[in-house]
Amino acid sequence: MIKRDFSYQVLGKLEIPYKYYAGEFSSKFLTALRDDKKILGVKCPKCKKVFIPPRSSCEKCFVQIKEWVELSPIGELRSFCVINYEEPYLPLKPPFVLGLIRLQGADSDLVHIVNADPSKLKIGLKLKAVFKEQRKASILDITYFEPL
Amino acid sequence: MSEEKKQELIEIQELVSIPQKFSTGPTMGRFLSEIRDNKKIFANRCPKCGRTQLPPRIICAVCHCEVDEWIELSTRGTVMSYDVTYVPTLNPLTGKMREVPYTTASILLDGGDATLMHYLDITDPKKLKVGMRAEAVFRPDEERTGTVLDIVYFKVLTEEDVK
Repeated sequence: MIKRDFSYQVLGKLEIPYKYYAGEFSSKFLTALRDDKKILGVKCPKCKKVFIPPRSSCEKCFVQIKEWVELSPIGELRSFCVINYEEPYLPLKPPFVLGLIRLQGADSDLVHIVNADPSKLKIGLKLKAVFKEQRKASILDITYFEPL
Repeated sequence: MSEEKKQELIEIQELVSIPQKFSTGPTMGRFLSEIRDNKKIFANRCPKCGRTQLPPRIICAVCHCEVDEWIELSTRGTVMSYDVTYVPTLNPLTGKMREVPYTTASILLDGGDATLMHYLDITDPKKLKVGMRAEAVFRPDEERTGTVLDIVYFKVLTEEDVK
């Protein structure tokens, strides 16, 4: 008996629109990025740690945070990951680098794109935020961080 | 002092869009190919328990044995149950909301004992009845692409149609 193979592939997609509501706290952070090119963090009144992205309560002390501090656009690479595979939903063509960046004055790290040759990356590398010309109150108003 | 200026609240509209490929495998592949190429609905029948499987599967869901006997079913059948949906939900295949109201029904096709879930063309609950006869409406010849939507919907048959 000759068996014809009927297998084939059907193209589909998974497409979901959604809205992200930043809330009172993060809205302030995002509007500062957009309007003043400033990176804001928050300071816990008890442990004095400075968090970025901002959060309204301290994860260790469980107290409400109200104090805002301006952070430097300069920071240090704490860890990184080179993305080598291509997927349609990724923000950039690979290879590109995602880094954990400790801004000066902060006690937590920010994840962002690092625009640097992957072979020259080193933990401790000094980086500076590069802002977009057209900003729309998103974390991507910082295009990427690049070595100083 | 004047009242503090009202703070701007940010909302960001985003779209997740991930292209995907589904592999039909040989069994679903045959089912869909017969609809695309011949406008025929095929099911398969378990050699052990005799159940009709629709859509067909390579393994009998009850006996767990391989199923390789194919049977052609009629494109007409009987509505066994139905639902009218009024709440729009997101269709992830298009990223758009589904148009409401729409009716989904479980249709027992003639020639087998398995039902197929599909859309019905009537959305008025007063005109819907279990036991109604319905017939598959296929997409026109050049427009069938081998997906489940090559059957657009099932058309409810009037008594004159049935004759």
